[in-house]
Amino acid sequence: MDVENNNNTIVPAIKETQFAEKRKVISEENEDNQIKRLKHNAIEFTTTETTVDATQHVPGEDSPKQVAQRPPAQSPKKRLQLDNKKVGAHNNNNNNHKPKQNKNETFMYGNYKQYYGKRILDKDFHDIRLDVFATQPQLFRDKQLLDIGCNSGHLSIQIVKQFEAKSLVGLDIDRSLTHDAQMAIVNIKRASNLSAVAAAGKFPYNVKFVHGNYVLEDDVLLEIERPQFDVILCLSVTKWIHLNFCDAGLKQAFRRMFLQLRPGGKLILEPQSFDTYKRRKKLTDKIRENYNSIQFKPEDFTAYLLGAEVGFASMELMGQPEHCNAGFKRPIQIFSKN
Amino acid sequence: MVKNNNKKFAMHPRNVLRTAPDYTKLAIKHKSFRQVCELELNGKVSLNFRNERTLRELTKMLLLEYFELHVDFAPGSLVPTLALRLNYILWLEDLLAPLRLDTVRGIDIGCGSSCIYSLLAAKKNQWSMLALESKQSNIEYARDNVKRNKLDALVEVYAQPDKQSIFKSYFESAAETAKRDFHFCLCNPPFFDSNAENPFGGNTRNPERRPAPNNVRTGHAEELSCAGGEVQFVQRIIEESELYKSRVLIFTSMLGVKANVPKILDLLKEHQISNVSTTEFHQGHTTRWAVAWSYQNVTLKLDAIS
Repeated sequence: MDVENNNNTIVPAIKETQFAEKRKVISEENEDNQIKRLKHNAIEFTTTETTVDATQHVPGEDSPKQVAQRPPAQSPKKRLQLDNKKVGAHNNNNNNHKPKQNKNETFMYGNYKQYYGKRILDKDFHDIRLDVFATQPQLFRDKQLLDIGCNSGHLSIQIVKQFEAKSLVGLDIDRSLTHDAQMAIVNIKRASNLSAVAAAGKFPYNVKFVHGNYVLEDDVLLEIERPQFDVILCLSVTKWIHLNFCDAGLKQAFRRMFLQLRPGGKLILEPQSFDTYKRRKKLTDKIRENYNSIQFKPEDFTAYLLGAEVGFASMELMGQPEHCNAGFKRPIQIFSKN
Repeated sequence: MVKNNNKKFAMHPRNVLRTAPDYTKLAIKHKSFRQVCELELNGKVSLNFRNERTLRELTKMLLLEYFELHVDFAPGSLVPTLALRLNYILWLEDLLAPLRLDTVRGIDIGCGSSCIYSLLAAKKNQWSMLALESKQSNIEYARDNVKRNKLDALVEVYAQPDKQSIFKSYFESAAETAKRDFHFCLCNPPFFDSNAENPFGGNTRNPERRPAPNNVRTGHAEELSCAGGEVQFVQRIIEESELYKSRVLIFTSMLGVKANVPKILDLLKEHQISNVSTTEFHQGHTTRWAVAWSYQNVTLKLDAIS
């Protein structure tokens, strides 16, 4: 993946026939690079990674990489609520590569640790969604962004950097994650040579992380919400809002997103499909209750967002990441406000 | 940063605002208050105190929330801060407590359009209040406020015909009620001297280091300043008190400027009034002072309040 030269844009599904050849090469690369949210055994793949870095992979030239054993397709969420038995078995097979700290923890908000993998930001961090975003860079350039559910901030930071956004605020319900995100920014600031004064308003000084719940204590507070962002990102968060705060909470969040957008603003939404909710309903009793009470399904989201209660003017399908686990192949939509 | 629990600068122990209210919950509950609040990204509500409308809606909401008082303020008139008014009333409660009175009667000198001291005293403690006011528009608002809160039986708003008099007009009037005695009088005088070069200039020795106030000034000129400022105003109260020594048990007044406290104490000494006491009111970053004097045999010194 040659991100620096922006050579390898993954185009949306409809155009795949034109790029069949390129895709072959790319998919191999991806497997080796372990795209974004796949956690993998660092030992197995470090050699492969360094090889790719060093040679700056050119299509057609296959360097003798060790095509290491790819672990069974696993979303990081599979590591929830493991008991010792399962962990032992997996370790024996050396198939499962969970970081120890996630063992037995309940991530009831989807607030996973190490969600973006153990990568550090500078080197080859590449979330496949960035390729979808790269098809419309003008969406982000010079714009004020909000990222709802930013986790440890890796993707948010990459977006600001790569697309030269004007500013970004990242919000997450987990205080330790926003702390991690803030620390990442601090480290970037330390590594950069510019002083705060010289770089005011420029990356990384235009990135801020806030801890809090996007869902408000009461709907009436929407009355005093004001437009303040050009683009709002809501990526793989709707399931968690839905499971924790029910239909009412998610609807309120949608309304809040609309109110926070300036005229001409865009909501970039990547909702999870309902069949993926089921495996999370065991997280807590409250979540099970909430799951059972859901009547507003993901297939109803678009109509609701375009309807009178929210008021987006139009929806456009931005794309769907292709070369990743089936679990992450979620369509990314753009809703526009007039 | 002034901490709430730091005893030296905390509000009176019985002040309901001693712990900061949860503005988010209050914004959810009260619609017109909500309109002056700002919503933060994390769902909490914040207030810009440097705005007159915000201050007015805030005081209205707090009066409603904590005392079920519906108060209207004349546009442009002084917006009282509830914490300070409560501190004053609570101090009076402390002064009167040892007397174990069944009914309490007090005088509110210059009640303003809100009539806030009288309303609080009547609603909270069922004290009988005489509210004196000379400005006609304020009188109308004050009477409306009393009526709206159904406190007519306890609060009488008296229209002062003579701006120069404090008690005189009332006590000399033919009214039956004017024959009664009072247990205290309270006053929030115009702090500043309209004759001075820079009435609102302040007395600080170090203007660069003294931070600007967190709120904005409200009130008509005549509510904020008068000829000679608060010193002259309180002087008039002292002089009239000599004529009515037995009619009011405890004379009190607030002072807004620290430097004026010793001046008033000197005045009292000149008039050979020995039964004197002072106190401080702390609210956030603001401190005010009050002085009490009496011609009768009543204890004015309280050990509890600094």
